[in-house]
Amino acid sequence: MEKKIRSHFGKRTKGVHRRRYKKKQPKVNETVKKVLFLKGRKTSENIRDLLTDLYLITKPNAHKLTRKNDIVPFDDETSLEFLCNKNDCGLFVLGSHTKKRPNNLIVGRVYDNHLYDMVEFGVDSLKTIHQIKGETCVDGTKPLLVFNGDGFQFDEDYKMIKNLFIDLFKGVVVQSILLTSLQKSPNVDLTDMGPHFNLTKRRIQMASNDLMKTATWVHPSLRPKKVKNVSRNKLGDKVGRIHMGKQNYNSIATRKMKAFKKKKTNNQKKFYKK
Amino acid sequence: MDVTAILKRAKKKKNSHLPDKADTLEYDLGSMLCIDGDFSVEKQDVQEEDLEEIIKKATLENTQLLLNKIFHLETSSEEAGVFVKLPHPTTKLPRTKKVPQPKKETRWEKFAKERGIRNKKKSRLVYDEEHGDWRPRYGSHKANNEINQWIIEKKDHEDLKGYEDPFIKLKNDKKKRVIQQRANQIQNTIRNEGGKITKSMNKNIQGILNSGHNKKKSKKQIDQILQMTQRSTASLGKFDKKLSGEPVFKSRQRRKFQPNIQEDAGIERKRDLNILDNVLTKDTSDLNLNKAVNRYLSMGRGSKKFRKNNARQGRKGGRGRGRGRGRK
Repeated sequence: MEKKIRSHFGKRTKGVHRRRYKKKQPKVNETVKKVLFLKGRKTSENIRDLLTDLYLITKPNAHKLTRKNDIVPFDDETSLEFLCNKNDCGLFVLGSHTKKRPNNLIVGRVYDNHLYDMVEFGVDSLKTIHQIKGETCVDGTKPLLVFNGDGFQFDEDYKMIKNLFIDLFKGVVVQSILLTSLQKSPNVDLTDMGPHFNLTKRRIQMASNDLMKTATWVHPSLRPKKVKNVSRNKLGDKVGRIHMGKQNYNSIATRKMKAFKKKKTNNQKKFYKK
Repeated sequence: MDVTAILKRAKKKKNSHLPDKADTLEYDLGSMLCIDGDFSVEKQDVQEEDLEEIIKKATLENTQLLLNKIFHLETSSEEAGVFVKLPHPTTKLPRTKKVPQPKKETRWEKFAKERGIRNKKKSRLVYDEEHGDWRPRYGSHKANNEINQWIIEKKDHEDLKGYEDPFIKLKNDKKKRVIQQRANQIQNTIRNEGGKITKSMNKNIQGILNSGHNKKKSKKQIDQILQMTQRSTASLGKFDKKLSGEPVFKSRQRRKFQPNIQEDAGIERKRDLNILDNVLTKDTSDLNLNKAVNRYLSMGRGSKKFRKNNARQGRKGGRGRGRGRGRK
């Protein structure tokens, strides 16, 4: 009985608090960005379904809040920043539904406890994972992302949206992947898994150039190391160049062969005899 | 015989994984993505279902191209299987938190670096000869604790004049060391921030100051201490100067003691015989054994098994207060 009461009151063992605090501390190399899913003042079934589906895709690096929040990010972002900070999330997805903005989805990012950027979308023609019958993939698989359309290369808004989506869906940053885990090559077949939806861009708030610079700054230890002087020839061999200094060919120490040695003639020899 | 047709067919078969279109995609293999700039559809021209098909076809081709590129990367075979080493991602993504400032060296770390002193890994437990068991190296319960010495030898060169109690000296030295350690910690935090005390540092400094015996006490603890101090005066806190808002605790009745040595020897004799009588002739038939045992158990005594079944809800309050100090 005694033990039960203890655990119910959440008696924390030594070090748990310290470890939790350490986890939240900023790191030089950030590999994971958690997503926070939340609801606005009012939601529709569509939006709720979409939030669940997106949560399923971004698991396990996602946190879903169930209660409704009186948050309108484009008016006041402080409570949103607070929630993101508390839950240690770098991304948020807020779903709401009003008459003026039906099926509203706001996706945004947080940097240094402040709002970085966000986009507002209108969602329509949604088909959830549940509705689309077929196979689904395992939690936490890293996706291949394909962006169709030149807007993603040239239009500022869409470039930002692309950046945002990459951040949202990319999962954990890895350096190498297991070949066998990729779909069987070389012929690819795509099966619709869902969710399937159309987004219409509504409002957008981008980060200022200065903020972008500081946020995207990469620590020198993490920058790609330039390896010089290494290349591969057509046979696949690793090739590099060794640079020698200027050489005096007359005085190079080569292999000595007695046959080539200049022999002193008898006259020369006599010259030295006394 | 027309061989060209056969060759064409063979080539097509071999390159069946290459889509017909030209590869003009922009790749970022580090993030496993590609962007197709050539894809464009006029929404007005196309119907809903057709649009789906067009997008699906384009995506399929692009995925194929992307996968091909990934498969052509440098591979390394390891125990788990064949791994493909992804290049550095080219898309610039923002961080979530600021890059942490590199920690400045503490005074000791600087010194250790200069002298080439390295940390030797030491065992956690040390054998304590006095107790004959293994105790932790550090901490209040540590092995070979000097403070718990019961005998301290006097050194010959020490003069008895101005001689200070060595036991008290040990305790005071310890206190000094603790204070010094805290001061060093605070100095290190200030030095780490560059010499100025900032608001954010204040929290850290408060934490250091409130550590150990200075741990912040809860309101309950402070009330308890206050109650004790009030009671510890001869008048049980009745005539103490109290601050506005300070609670007044119910004071017990002052215990009356008889003087140890009575003037009248007869009274003392009577008293002592009374005590003896009470002890020897105690009528145990009045004792409610069940009640006694239960009370004993509820105070947290006895074996675990029986305590479990009989412990009162809530350890504090009620009869268990004061850790069950002997009550009749």
